Amino acid sequence: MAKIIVVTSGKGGVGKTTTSAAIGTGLALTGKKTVIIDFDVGLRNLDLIMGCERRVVYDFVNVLNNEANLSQTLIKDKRVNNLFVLPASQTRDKDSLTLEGVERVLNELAETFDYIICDSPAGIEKGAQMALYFADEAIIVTNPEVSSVRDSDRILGILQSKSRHAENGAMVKEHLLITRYNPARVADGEMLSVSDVEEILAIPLIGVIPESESVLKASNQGVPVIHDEESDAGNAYIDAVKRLLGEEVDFRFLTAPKKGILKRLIGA
Amino acid sequence: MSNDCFRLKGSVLTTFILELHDDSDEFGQQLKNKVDATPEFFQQSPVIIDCSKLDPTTTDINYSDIVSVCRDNGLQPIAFKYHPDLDLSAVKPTKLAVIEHNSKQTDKAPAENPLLPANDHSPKIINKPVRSGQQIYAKDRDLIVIGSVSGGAEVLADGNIHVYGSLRGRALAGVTGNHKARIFCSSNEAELVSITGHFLVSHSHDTATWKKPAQFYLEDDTLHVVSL
Ligand SMILES: Nc1ncnc2c1ncn2[C@@H]1O[C@H](COP(=O)(O)OP(=O)(O)OP(=O)(O)O)[C@@H](O)[C@H]1O
Ligand SMILES: [Mg+2]
Repeated sequence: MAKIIVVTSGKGGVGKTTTSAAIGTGLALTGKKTVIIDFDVGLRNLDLIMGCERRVVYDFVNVLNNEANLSQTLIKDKRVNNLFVLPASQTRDKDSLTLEGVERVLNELAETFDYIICDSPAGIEKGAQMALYFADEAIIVTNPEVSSVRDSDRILGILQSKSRHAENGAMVKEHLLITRYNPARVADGEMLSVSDVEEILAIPLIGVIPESESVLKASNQGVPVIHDEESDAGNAYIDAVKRLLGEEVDFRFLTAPKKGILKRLIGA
Repeated sequence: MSNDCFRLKGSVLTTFILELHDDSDEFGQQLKNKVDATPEFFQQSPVIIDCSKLDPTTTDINYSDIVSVCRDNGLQPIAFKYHPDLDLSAVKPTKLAVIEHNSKQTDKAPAENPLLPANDHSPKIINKPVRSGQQIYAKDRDLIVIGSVSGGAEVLADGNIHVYGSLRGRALAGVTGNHKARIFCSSNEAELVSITGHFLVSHSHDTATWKKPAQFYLEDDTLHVVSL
């Protein structure tokens, strides 16, 4: 049985696409056959972060409109076996997305894939609702600041009222992923702490990804950050994937690196 | 998600009711004082102007002025509630909606309210958190929320409201006029609490109960908050 996981946030620019690429890649690296779907029709971002933008021929909307079939459209990842991307179209309008169409495509993917990751567009309107409607699980991507947490709360409300599972009286399994976490700024009271966010949203924590320059570098190179073994963000995503698969892993990168005595003396 | 141009949906909207007692020149200043005390709270709030308490024999009420005073103070008047004896033609130019004052409903004495306590109106129980943007209304009964009520969420009941998590959003009890309705919560972090329209907003709260278990009740037309 394929698991459908939506990566969503409400607020824009918090790290959904970065997370979809990292988690999707991470799952594939453990041997799970995984496809990442870009639901952000009109923007197209996932293919850039996955580094496959030059290989896009057909897109999600073509499949929905029966202009291409899945095997023509899915892009196989160059680095990882078992990993595929279903790109969004940059030009077509969002109205091509219908629940019936999306359901048909998901059902077809579910026949061969273990994990289907849906990279949601920002907002709480139709596009985001379409991306989450069929989800079995949801990764709620949140930055440690009030407006992002408030939007995550809203999307959780929608998830548990306007998704297929909710309409059938069941629950969508919820996971909290806090990203762009900067422990130094948390210590200075400029950002919410992990426990602040957990307390407000009251869902299980699956990962804390530190704010890291390696993320920008990774997107510029089109290599998901989880491939970067040197990177704290990449390692934090590896931990998150393990927790998603049910492993218990201690949280890392929650505190600021201690300044050495010399640095403190010279005030650096 | 069909292609229909619209969908009509039922909804409960919380608005302020501005009950005019006297159409005098002081109205503008008094309203300004009230709004200035908690400006962000009143920001663009919809408001219904209730003229049913005005003396029905007065003829020279300038409704357009009343509307402008409200707008100048950042409120959005949406309708007039009027006394059946009041002259309606004067309201027309304001283009606002008019709602007939239903004396039966609002003048009901709390002691006669058959709804509380009542055996055949079991409480509405919500087993999960009430999230931002959600609104839950327990009609003719109490409301019990097992989880928290998020900031930006709203819970309403004709009866009492119990929140066994943190109350961070808005809670309005006794919305149809039961003055005996109360609100209880395990942690008081509310944006707004109201019983029969008497309300408190967060920074006007008694700080002693902030983030602590608390109870809200009405006494002598004043909303009180005490620790539990
Ligand atoms: N852990 C991180 N550290 C530093 N920068 C990050 C991190 N995560 C994401 N970013 C940056 O934040 C920006 C937004 O990321 P991303 O595109 O993944 O967000 P999104 O939620 O998908 O946005 P949208 O709502 O527009 O789809 C990018 O520039 C990305 O490089
Ligand atoms: Mg994105």
